[in-house]
Amino acid sequence: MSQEKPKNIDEYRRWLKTEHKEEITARSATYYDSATAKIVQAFESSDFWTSIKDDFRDTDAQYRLKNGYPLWASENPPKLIVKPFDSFLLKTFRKNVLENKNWPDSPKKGWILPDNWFSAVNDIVRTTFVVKYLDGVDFLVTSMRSLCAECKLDSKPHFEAREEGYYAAHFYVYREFEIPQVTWDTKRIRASVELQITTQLQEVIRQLTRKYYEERRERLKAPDTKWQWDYTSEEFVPNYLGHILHYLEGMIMEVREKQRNGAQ
Amino acid sequence: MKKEFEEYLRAINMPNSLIERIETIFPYIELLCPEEIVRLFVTDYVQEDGAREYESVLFFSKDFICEAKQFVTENDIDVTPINKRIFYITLKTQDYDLKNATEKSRIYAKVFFEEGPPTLNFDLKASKENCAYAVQMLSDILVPNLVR
Repeated sequence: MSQEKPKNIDEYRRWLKTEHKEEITARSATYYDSATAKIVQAFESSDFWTSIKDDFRDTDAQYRLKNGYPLWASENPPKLIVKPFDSFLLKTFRKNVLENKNWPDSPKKGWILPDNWFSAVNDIVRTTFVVKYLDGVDFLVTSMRSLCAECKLDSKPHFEAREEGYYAAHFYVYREFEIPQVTWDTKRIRASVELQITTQLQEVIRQLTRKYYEERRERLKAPDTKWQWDYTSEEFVPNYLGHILHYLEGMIMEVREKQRNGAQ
Repeated sequence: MKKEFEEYLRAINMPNSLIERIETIFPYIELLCPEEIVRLFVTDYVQEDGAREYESVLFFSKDFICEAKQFVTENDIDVTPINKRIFYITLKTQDYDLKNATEKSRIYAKVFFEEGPPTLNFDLKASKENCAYAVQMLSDILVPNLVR
């Protein structure tokens, strides 16, 4: 029996109800808000995040001592943000359906459903650190890995380099959280917080390309012409700008190091 | 490092790594300066984006002044006698009444030693709470050492 693929979020909700007996209602969104609030609260009061905030200026100082330039593009540490419920549900739609190569069977790691989705979706809670220079990304990843080790937390970095010109490090910190269940009880889950690390220039282009990123994520199938060949498409320029900026940042590093070595 | 030096550095919000960096400079100062260092002052300024930059460290003994320029990234240190050798001080302030410093307070003094060659001078730059310490340097050390 072939199962018709849901084509949009409404059909996905119906599919969840008919195939997995999971009804997504306003109550689901309320529960999501309350569970994620607990995750944020627990992470904010963790030794790891407290150290990140307390050592924010000292981390900058360590980078300056090593490289002679400031690390941060901002004065204060970023705030943790929660993925809105609609975006979260859309992500499960992408993972379960749009990007599921095994359809109509489950994705390789299994269906993402309410009983496991707080663990399966890795960026429900996230934030972005913006650094001035390209080498600041790796510097910060190394620093965060050491801090995770000190706090006895698992972590995993991913250096993203996407076709659409997106460049950033995504650093995942894993820990256990106690969240409310739909009933009065609580349950312990293992979930990750995503710390994105990007450069000042990439952050600028991210704001410009966000719109196309959102649209791309909701597509059921790829367009007939790849964006790389469609110079009239709105994505063409901003996506290539992302690549060009990354290249420019590499060149800026080269100039910076030559200046520094010349001065020495 | 003397406790009062560390207290001063923490009072101007210097990160630990930079305090440790100043500690590493002391052996060079002790090499150049024949007297015990009794006062310390860090020149700082605030960039357009609000970031605070710590620039140079001034080390004062009874009769000498040492300056560690661009101390964060360099070991570039000099020494000169200070005893009654200052012949010109120019002072500028911004949002500072010499009593209560705010986030916007700035003070800048340029200090010239007796005429050269070489003409020696240094900048006393301070922002925010460091302005009060700059005023102390001026009144306790620099003005008393003006040539008469």
